[in-house]
Amino acid sequence: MAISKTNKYGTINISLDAIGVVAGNACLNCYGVYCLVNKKQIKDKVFTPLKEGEYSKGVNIEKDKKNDYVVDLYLLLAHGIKIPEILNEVQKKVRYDLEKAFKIKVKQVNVHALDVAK
Amino acid sequence: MKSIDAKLLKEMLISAANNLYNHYPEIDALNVFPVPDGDTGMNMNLTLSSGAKQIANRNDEDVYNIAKEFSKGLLLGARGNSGVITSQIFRGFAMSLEGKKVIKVNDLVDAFVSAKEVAYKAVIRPVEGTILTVLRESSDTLEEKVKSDTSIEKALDILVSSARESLSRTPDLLPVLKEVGVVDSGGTGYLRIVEGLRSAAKGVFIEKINATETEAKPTIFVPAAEGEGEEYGYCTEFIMRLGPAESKKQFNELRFRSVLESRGNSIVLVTDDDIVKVHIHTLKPGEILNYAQNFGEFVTLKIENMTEQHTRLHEGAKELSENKPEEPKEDFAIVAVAAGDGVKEMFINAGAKKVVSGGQTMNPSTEDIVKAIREANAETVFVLPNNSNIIMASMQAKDVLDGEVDVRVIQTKTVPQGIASCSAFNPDANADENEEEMSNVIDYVKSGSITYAIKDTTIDGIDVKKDQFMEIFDKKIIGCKKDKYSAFYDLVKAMVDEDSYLITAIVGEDISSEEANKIKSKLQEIFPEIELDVVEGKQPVYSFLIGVE
Repeated sequence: MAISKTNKYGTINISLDAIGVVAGNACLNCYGVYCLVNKKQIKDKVFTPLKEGEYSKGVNIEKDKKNDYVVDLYLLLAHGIKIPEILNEVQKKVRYDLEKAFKIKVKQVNVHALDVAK
Repeated sequence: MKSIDAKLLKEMLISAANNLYNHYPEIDALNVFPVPDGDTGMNMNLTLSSGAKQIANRNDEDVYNIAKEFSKGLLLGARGNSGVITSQIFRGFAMSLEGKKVIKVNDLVDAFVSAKEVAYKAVIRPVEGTILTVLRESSDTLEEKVKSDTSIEKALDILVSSARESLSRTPDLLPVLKEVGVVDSGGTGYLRIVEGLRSAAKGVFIEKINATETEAKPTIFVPAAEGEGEEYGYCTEFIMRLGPAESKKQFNELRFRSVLESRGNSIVLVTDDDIVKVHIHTLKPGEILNYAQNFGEFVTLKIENMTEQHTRLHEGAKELSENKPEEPKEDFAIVAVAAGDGVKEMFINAGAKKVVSGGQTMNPSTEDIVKAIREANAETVFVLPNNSNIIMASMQAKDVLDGEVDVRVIQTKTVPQGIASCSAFNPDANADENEEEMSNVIDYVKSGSITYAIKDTTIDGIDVKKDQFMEIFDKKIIGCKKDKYSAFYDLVKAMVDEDSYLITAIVGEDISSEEANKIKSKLQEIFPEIELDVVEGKQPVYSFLIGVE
């Protein structure tokens, strides 16, 4: 389990998938993001947009020893925009949403823009 | 008025950029979504300024050329989310004007509809209650209400008033706006833009109120260590407009890049239609310029001698150490960041060698910190940032001085933590032991502060009223009181528990010495068995800073 805590009522466990969904949603809400793609497709170079319910496939979350999280996002972007700015905003938004939703510390958000959809 | 010509459009766009500039601080203050970092206004302002600069010297006959250039300027200068969206809005605006000499009222409607479509194209799941909503609703109203015989002024009136109405509805659409009690910041920026357009169309050109340009500071490259046999040469940067076709050669990006690569390194080459931007480090900038001129003419040019810069930086560093040969390097020194004369004095008394001015709302730059570390003249320097916003700058200072000084950043986030950490320093221990001990002590200090609220809002379920005093305990607001003294006692009571043995209260510049004495005797009454320290810190912004150990 990615997050486990115990309080007086019992334990709380949150899976990496759940965090992945929040991260995916945060990133899809960003301007200029076309869709998330399956991280396993990177080698194929053929990308199919992930549908709702599959977002965790486009997100990779890892926890290091200090309980800090490293998030990787795999996306396609919209055409005709200033891409570095968009990616910057994605990093900011995803980090902010995760820290707010789960009270976890996000050390890194790595964005992989695999292609630009025209 | 029936139509807008190129000259008027240029005035309108510049006026829009100026109107945004005049209002950007208030837009910054509204920024809570997507991330409340208070930069929307500045980002939009920089984006629009870049567009305004692009068309400032153009005298085209056609509106299309002006709109196209403006949108190109926005694209190149886009900053942040709102800036990128604004650049898309004007891209759509310009696209629909293709081939037009003047804008008639129908064209104006088409332009805003196209702006909406293009802006929406780049977003899959638009969040309602943002600049996009304001854009969509105002463009729709425009399309609905404007007839072919409506005047331009009337049409722009409709646009502005519908944008304003739409903006006022944003809190209903986006819950986070309602919680904080603001309207959307990007939407406000858009409203300022259309207001600027309308004002100029009616003959009132909006000037910048404050003429100070907020130009980005030039970055100073500090060589990390002595480069071995590395070539420096000239840092050459230029922007070039290609063509005209009859007198210039055909531009081929691949070939151009390979020529650049054969003559230098650190190459950045960006092309956009007919604009080429080049950055290269080369030993012979003249050759590059001569070659590039075959394809077009330069828009801007900048060449700097990096070898000079390099030697100057190193000489500067040498001078600094050579000037004081009589002072041998000490083993350790502490550099702290603090605001307020009293607080600075506290750090000096606690053993800090240098204090850099700064704190909440006035962060020092990395350069300031680097300078203080160098002046501290020691083998190992401990840096106490004393504010979470300054930790990053301190880390950068550490990177800059890598190999020159052994810098240890102790991550203190508040002044009481900093003082405690500073007192934990032991000159007899080695650097690692000190770093560990100074970091450990942070966890034993509870920090609180009292400061005034700048607007009405609700945070963590507590109603905060403007000009009242908030009680902040370890970053959380635990209460809000009209009177700062009752807020202070309230907060201290919340912070103290049975293990507490020391209360440090640092009073701000708004509190007199007599008041400070009164506070001390009153605290003594409330907590008879705890040691007290009341200091006049004279810091701005915070009425009280409190540490409990």
